[in-house]
Amino acid sequence: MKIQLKNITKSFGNKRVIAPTDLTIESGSFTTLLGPSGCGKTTLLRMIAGLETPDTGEIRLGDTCAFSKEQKINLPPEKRELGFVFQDFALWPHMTVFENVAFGLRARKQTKDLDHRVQEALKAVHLEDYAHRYPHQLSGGQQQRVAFARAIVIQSGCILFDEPLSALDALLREEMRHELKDLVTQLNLTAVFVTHDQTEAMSMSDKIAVLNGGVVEQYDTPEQIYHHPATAFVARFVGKSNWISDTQLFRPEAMSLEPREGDQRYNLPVQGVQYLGDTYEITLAAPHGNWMFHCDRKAIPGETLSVYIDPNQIISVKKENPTT
Amino acid sequence: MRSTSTWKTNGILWVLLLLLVGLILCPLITVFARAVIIDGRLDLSQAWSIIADKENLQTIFNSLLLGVCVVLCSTVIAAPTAYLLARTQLAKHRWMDIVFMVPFMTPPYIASMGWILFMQKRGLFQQLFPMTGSFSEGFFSFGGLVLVMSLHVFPFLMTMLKNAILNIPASLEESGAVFGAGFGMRIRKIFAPLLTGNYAIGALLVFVKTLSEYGTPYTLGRRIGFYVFTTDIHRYSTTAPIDFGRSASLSSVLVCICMGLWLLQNYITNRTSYRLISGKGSRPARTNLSKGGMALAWLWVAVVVIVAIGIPYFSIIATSLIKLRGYGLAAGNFTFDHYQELFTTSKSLDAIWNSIFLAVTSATICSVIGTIVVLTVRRAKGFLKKVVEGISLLPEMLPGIVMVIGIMLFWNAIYKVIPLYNTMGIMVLAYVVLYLPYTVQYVTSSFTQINENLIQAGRTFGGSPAYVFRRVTLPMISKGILAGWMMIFIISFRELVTASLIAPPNVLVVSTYINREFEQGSVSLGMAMAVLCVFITTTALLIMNAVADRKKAA
Repeated sequence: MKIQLKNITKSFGNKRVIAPTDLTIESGSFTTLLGPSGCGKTTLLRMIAGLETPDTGEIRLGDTCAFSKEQKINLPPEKRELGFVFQDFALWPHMTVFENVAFGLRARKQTKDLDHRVQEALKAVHLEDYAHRYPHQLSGGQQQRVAFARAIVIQSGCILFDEPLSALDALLREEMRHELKDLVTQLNLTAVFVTHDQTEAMSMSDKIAVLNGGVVEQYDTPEQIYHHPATAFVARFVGKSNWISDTQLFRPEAMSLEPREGDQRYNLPVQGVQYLGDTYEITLAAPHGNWMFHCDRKAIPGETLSVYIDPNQIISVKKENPTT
Repeated sequence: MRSTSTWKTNGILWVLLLLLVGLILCPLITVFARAVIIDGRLDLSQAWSIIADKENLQTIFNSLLLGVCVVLCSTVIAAPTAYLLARTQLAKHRWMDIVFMVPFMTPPYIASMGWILFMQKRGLFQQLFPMTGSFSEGFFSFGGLVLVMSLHVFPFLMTMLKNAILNIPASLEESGAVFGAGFGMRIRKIFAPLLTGNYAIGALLVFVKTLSEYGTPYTLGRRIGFYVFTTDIHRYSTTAPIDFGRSASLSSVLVCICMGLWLLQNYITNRTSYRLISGKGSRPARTNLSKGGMALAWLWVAVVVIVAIGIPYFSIIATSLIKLRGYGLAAGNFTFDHYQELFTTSKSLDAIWNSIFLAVTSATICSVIGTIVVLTVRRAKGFLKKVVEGISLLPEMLPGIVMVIGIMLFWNAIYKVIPLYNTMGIMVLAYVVLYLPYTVQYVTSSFTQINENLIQAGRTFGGSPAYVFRRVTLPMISKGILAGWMMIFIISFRELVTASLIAPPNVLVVSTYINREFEQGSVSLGMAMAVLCVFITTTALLIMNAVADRKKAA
């Protein structure tokens, strides 16, 4: 399902949370809305779902117009036929796992093959034996899976995810990340995923929209966003950045201790060293803030190192706008 | 060291057990014993025939009917109000929470008197609207009784429902919407089921409160010839021919019903309290009412406030200011004389001083015993701990009148050993027994807010147990103790049933003074005392809030 946002804005009181925004999410893609808290990513997602009403603009879901300020169209959430995975899972505590998953089918009166369809969805998330438990009898990861089964069973073609992994602990989060991505690919779903975690965004997405202060700063593939950040904000928010000047930076991989042809050389004092097991993370005191890189040998704080930077990997960005 | 401290705790525990058994269990057992021991021997069939007496069955039926109707009527008032205050734009008006507590804080007998004065023949309503004829006298019926009692308890149900609604994370209903459920289905399948448990608990508590209530059935129920448990128990114990056997057997039935309902309440709580996962990103839901909707909402709130607060308070205050009741509400017929009389005659001054003395002593004794109970119980383990805690909370679950009857019977029986009966001492004792659970609950809840680490930190930094108690524990639970003290002060100050049953001859307190003046003296004088009583208790409450706020700010 292709999702189109045109000229969407939203303010809460006097505070503008979404600046005029256009965004097209391709059918079958995994798209992430990435940004710090308060950047408007969740608001954007909730507007797609119909849980918030935009102030202006238009939202199209596939061929249907879900919202249009001009045509005075505003489909309520229950008419938009979307799947949604909530941050707190939002499982109904008074219903069994089965009834939670079956809810969307019953609400839409699609009760034909209901048992079978619910069981299939539970099987997809490996919870077929838990159908008659209540949500509080499940672990966090299992609750997450139920929330996901509930979203896939209605076969809506598009699922919206609102920071679904943030309530899980680190290990489980990584596991669920893989599981989620695999299922979305298998079922050929369109996914819109909201997160503030760049690792999640980079590892799962076909495309990432980086939001800051209600503005989409860049909308591109993860590789482009990493190697060619459009703004200083994107460069800082995604990946580690070492700054040469206000507008020039390079990623840690561009720096090494061995000189190569045409490299720029810097002699800098070591500020700190951390041993990470497979590598040492070394921090150097550079004129425009600290530089960080990985190397396989230990350094001593205070010692001066000669480092070499590949000039082809130096990235130029627009100067950061101090108001955003 | 550990073993000696355990030993010490156990010692205190046994002393407390003995004390609580004497204060609480013995009177209760006396009631049951009196109900089944007739003419000096155990006679169950006779006991049963007293209970199954036709008049008694009518009383029991009346009580239960009243309970059910009050639950229904208070639901009709409480549910919409709770929804408006939890979900709509009205939620931002926090002052309404306080306004809606007023009816609950008003002593029921005073509110009933207000209603009687308003609705009776040639009462205030007929003076204000002479063209309505005798319409208002229809109030003196079962329906009127249900209304007045519901108006007293609905804030309790409303607060419970409101908090339950606020506890439902918005996402639970939003997910319902996203997965295709319209408004009606969301209410039916998600909102209502999530509230059922809380509602059932609230309804049961309202039912128990109604069964145990004495003030309104006494002032209004008796007038219309509607007798319930409490009024009959009172009648058999005070009016000739006095029949303690009958009042004991009715008390026993009442206790059994109340305990049964408490167990049911407990069962429902355990079964239906879902752990609502309200972690990150959960917000309470909001409904935005349109302008018309808001107008209706305000209208509803205004009607509830006028009926629940406006009418009774208008009646009481107006009556207290009227010079000659025969002239009614007329210019020039108003005076402060009644208030002046309150402060110049010894009868009323004595009543005020008696009430203040009882309130201060019982609140202080409760605070001391209750705090010791909580501190000891927290350190103890095992069966004994549960027993002590259970007994200390027992009076809260039982109708006050039953406890008082028990105390009367028990202390009368041991009069030769401890001649406490018929003195002020027995009143203090009865109040302490009735209100001890308040201290226990307030202090326990203030304890649950203290992280055990804080106390351990105190020990780690070298404080002796006594030092840590004085510098860490005590300051942190002092708010709970203070809140309990103030609560007990307020309710003992206006307590009616205990005072009317157990006060020594010729000793009046505020409530019995009001009652006596209302029934056979100067109604205006009685109402002036009622206004003063509400004024003093409200002031106490405001002082407590101010102190608590200052502590929070510090």
